[in-house]
Amino acid sequence: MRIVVNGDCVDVETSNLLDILDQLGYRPDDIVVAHNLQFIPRAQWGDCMIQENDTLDVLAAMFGG
Amino acid sequence: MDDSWQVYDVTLQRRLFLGTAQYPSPAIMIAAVEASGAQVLTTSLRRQAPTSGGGETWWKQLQALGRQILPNTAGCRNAKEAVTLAQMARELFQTNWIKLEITGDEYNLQPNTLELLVATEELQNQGFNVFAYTTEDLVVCKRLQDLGCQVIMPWGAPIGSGKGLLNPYALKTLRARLPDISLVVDAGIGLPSHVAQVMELGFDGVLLNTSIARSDDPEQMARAMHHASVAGRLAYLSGSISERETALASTPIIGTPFWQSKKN
Repeated sequence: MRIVVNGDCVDVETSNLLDILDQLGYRPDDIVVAHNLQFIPRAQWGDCMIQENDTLDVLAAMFGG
Repeated sequence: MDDSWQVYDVTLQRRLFLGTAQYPSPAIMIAAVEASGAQVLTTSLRRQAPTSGGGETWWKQLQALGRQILPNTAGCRNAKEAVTLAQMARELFQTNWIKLEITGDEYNLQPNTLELLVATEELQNQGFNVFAYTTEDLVVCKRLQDLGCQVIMPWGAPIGSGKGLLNPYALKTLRARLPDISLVVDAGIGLPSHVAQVMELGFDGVLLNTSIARSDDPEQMARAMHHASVAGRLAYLSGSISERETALASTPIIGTPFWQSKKN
């Protein structure tokens, strides 16, 4: 199924958020995730189901002012 | 002299807050942080590609310094985005502190104070400690205080402009009208003299980034900014003299040499 990750279209083989992040090669400890602009706490990744055309924002720490 | 102050759940001894962006290298950023003496450092969140490694090296170096982290919501344009990003920041940086920043105009990056009030109320209800980046608008700041925000951060000038305090009158008014809340001038600082001016006005602190990070020698500039914050703070606590329109001799008149009363 095709979803949008950080603004780019991506084909994934599963609908489980935790599995999607693993498939994409993310390291869980370094990131936080929003699904369709809703924050998903790390503890809920395993229960979060993603659907076709959903959006994920995967963010990490960055310098800031 | 103990000049510590309470910022939400943390007691601070220093008055300078420092941003971590735009330095020539992470090593120079770390050196500048140490030279500034800043106990509070701002960070942000950005989209992460899975193969980019997360830039975690600099983050681990920063964590090793043991400073209080203040994540920001830079780049957000409405309250919903800012609230979501604040929630993400809380999990990533493990802090309830959030520098709430919502852009209302791309030209001068002026804060959107309407959205700021909406987001502040929501985040306060969710247990965040909000540091509200705003304009010098007194009514907005009073409303932020009413919402329970304990740290208000009016801009000195647009972010990165280095212009110093564009509206000292309004900032003085804020200090006079909101004497019991922490006020931290954020943005627009270019010189140590600007930092000193902020502190002389009785503000509780200053947040700056670009003026240090983009100087020719960030470490040395950070040290200069630290000294300016201390000088300004001491001047404020000392109570400055009032301005006069005419001269007032500082040397005692009595016993002035060569002076003689008129004869005859």
